[in-house]
Amino acid sequence: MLAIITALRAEADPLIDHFSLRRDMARHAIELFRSSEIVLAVSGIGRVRSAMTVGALCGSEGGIEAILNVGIAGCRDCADLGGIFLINQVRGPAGSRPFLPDMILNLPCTERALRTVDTPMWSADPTLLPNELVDMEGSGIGEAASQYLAPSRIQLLKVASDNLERTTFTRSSIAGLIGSHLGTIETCLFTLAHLTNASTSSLSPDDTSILTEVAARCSLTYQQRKILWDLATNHRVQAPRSSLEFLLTLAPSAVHSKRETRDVFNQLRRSFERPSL
Amino acid sequence: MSDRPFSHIYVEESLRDNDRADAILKRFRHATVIPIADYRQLFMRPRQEWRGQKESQKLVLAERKAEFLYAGSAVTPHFGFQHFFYNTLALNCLYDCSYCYLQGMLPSANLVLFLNVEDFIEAALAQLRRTAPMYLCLSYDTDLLPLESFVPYTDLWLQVVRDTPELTVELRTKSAATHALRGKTPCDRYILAWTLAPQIAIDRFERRTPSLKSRLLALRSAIDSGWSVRVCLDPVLEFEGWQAAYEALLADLSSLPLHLVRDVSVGTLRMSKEHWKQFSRVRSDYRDLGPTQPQGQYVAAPGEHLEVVLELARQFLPRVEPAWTPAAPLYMS
Repeated sequence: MLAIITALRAEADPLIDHFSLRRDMARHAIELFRSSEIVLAVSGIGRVRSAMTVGALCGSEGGIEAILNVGIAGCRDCADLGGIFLINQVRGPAGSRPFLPDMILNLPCTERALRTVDTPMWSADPTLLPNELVDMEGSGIGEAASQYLAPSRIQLLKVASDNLERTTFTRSSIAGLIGSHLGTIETCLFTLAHLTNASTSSLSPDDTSILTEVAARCSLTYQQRKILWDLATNHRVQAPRSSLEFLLTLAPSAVHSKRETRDVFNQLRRSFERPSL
Repeated sequence: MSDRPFSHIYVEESLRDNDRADAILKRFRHATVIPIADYRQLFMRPRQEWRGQKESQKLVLAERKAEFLYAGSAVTPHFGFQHFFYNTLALNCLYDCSYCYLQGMLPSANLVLFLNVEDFIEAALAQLRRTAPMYLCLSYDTDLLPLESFVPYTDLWLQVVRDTPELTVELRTKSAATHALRGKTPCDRYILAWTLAPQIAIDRFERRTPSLKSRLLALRSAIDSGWSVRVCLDPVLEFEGWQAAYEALLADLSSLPLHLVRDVSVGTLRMSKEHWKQFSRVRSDYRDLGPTQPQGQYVAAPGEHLEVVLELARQFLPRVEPAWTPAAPLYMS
């Protein structure tokens, strides 16, 4: 089971829609949404709440294999407002441990460092502000999740939302910021899911690289990727020495619609049925 | 998984203006540099995924603060020296050998380079003043020769050995990077030890290592240049067709000027029980390495195939000694 944690319901909304998650009415202490493979928790703002949510999820849910924190963050010098960043280090307030996610996922995402603060941060003088992205949860999530999971299975994606100036956000503006990066978030989730299965997978690093490229070119959805990986794994078991390069010849360099994605996916799927393979 | 070497380099903050660190960072300009307070924050964490990290290895530049020297292990040959030590100038290496005990010993697969080489040298010389003569393995939990272009470890130690008559060092390697030694005057007490295996075993168990042919060429070149050379068939693994493969390897070896080889060490797979426990978790394919059984405090391959290789080796090679036998580890200090 993959867990997504957001601080705000507005950050969660586009993900709930995209992954067709349903509210878990049996849990009242945390706002929880789930499908068969993903559980999403809305933690509330702050390090303590986010850490408690991690504890509650990992302690009571069982089977949490990876955690992805998705949220907005301030950015003093960020030219790319609205851009999404993969976090490669998290520093919290004095006294907290820095968290260093293992950067072993090859995601098409720019990396940044993150500073987690306990109170909202802004200043008229930008030189007084930190260089990193700034949020209020990352350090709590990293530190708490490290008690349960490998550092490669705890990842943070932050969308730069403001220049640390006094900014008023609406629910829809926050949802819009997150909603414009659903593809990247889905890729990150899928890569995490694949990582959790990698120890038992018979796919080689070359196979994985081919599959990742094909999935990116065809903008495959989470479910489509999962099916493709399963087919490739079966194929590898049956034909240990064959190459998966034939998939690259079937995948166009880019797709322009969901319909096109579906058509290409069906073609990829059928290619595994050919007896000649 | 990232396919560029060292997509990230973690650097201890104390190395901010360090020349060796700067030179490495210049070489890997594409890498994301992440400052850290202490390498252990990154390296010693629990629950790290060894295999995943090995596929996307990161570089860590650090300063060792303590433990510059360790007493040699009972399962490592001492080659007749009473005072046998090793140091850890680096942790992990660039290669990915299936049987590597580091998978059971270290919590992370990332490559740590300690840049304060002078502190290691000082510690070795201090120990030497108490226990001379001393035998020191430099390339113990790593393979230093292919890292020579990162930090000139072997060169720095060559100077020390040359100036210290009571010190003998071994640099064990699978590398073919002998260009690092080109132009250097050999020293008898600076032993270059090549680990060799049949090509079929290299293909199967020694990922990212140089081929047998390259290693033999490197070995030959070292002999021709006058270096003191050791041949290590260690570990001898039991795989389908292993006997024929080792016979072919020994035949290849016999074409070298073996009278100039200092000695030959032959050993089987062995590991402490504690390391084996973690190793077998990390390597789900550990059974491919052949049968193993508990032997005292160790888990080791049964000795029968070692006996066969020893017998074969003695026909071809001079001064062959088993690196370790289950009943009585040789060269224990």
